[in-house]
Amino acid sequence: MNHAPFHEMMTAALDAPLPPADRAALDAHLAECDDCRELCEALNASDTLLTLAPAIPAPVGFAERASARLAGRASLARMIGGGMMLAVGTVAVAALTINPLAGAYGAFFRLPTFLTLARALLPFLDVCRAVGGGGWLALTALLDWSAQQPIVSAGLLATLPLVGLWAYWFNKLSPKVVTT
Amino acid sequence: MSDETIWIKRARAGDQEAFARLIETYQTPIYNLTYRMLGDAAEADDAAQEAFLRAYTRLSTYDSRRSFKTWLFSIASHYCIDLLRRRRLTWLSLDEPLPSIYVAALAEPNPGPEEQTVRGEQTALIQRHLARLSLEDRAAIVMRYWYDLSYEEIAEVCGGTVSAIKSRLHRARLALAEALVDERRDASRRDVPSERLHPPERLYRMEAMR
Repeated sequence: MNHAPFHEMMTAALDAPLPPADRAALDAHLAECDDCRELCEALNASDTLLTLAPAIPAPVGFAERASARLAGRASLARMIGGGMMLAVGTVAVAALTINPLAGAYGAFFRLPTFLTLARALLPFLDVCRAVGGGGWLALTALLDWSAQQPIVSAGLLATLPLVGLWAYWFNKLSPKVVTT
Repeated sequence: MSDETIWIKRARAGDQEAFARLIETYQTPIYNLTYRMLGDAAEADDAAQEAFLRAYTRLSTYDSRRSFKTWLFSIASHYCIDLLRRRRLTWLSLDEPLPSIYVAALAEPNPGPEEQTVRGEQTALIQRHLARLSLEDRAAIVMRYWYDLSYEEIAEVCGGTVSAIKSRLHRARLALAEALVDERRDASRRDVPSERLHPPERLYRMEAMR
């Protein structure tokens, strides 16, 4: 005989009353099957045991210890993030200091100007000069003035993404205020 | 907006004090879950703390349309299952007592001496039976009996379909009943006093006396 359908009825009966036909079939089966009756009694006893079992309360001081652990972990993450931020900030500051240092260096030693590099690397500037002398003069004057030292321009350009990255981390690590 | 929603919002923005409020609110449900899953007070304490930490770091993934409690349960139960699989935690033999469980039972507020003993025995009995279940079945039973979650909610916490959860609970309940039958038969062979064989009935009496 297949007892599985009766087992299913027994467990289903723990959640909700069985339909009358199923209830009658189960009762009839239990009246003549000792094993299923024993199992049914155990199912009910086990169900009662679990239903009445209280929740084990959290140990005294649990919330405080969990909060302290959270703060410890957060401070570690903050320390690592802060270290990275400091490193990037240092590089950014170093990039900024290249400007006056290179300027001082350029006062004593001749550095290749942007113009000479442009002449060497970009022949089309000659065409531009041929086409528009006035514009070219203005352009060369501007280049000479603003980009006297190409290494300075490179340093300033490198500073921009580094400062952006630093600002991103700083923003990410700073606590935010939420209004409710 | 409920207090809980405000705390969640603040915690998401990095306010640890707000999250501490959530820990205070859910410490017992989460601790009970980890305790029922792991069966050891120290392990459960550590796992519950870790579950809260994971919840904090994953707060950005929490969908506020869902229940925060079931989301927490999901994190804690999966953490316990992972922990047990990883560590291959050795469960105590069915014949050995579980000292830490008795310690936990003593933490009940104002129990009388006899009730302490009965509750300790019952807690040990429950843990012995839970330990016989597969990890997924154990999680489903804990969700059903201690938190009264619906099949849909259990499926949300444990993963899987509602019909899979139904069959999991069916299988787990039968296994628990068979464990009880085995234990009673074994105890009757060892001639254990009859009142120790029926702890639920004893607890019934104690509840009725209140």
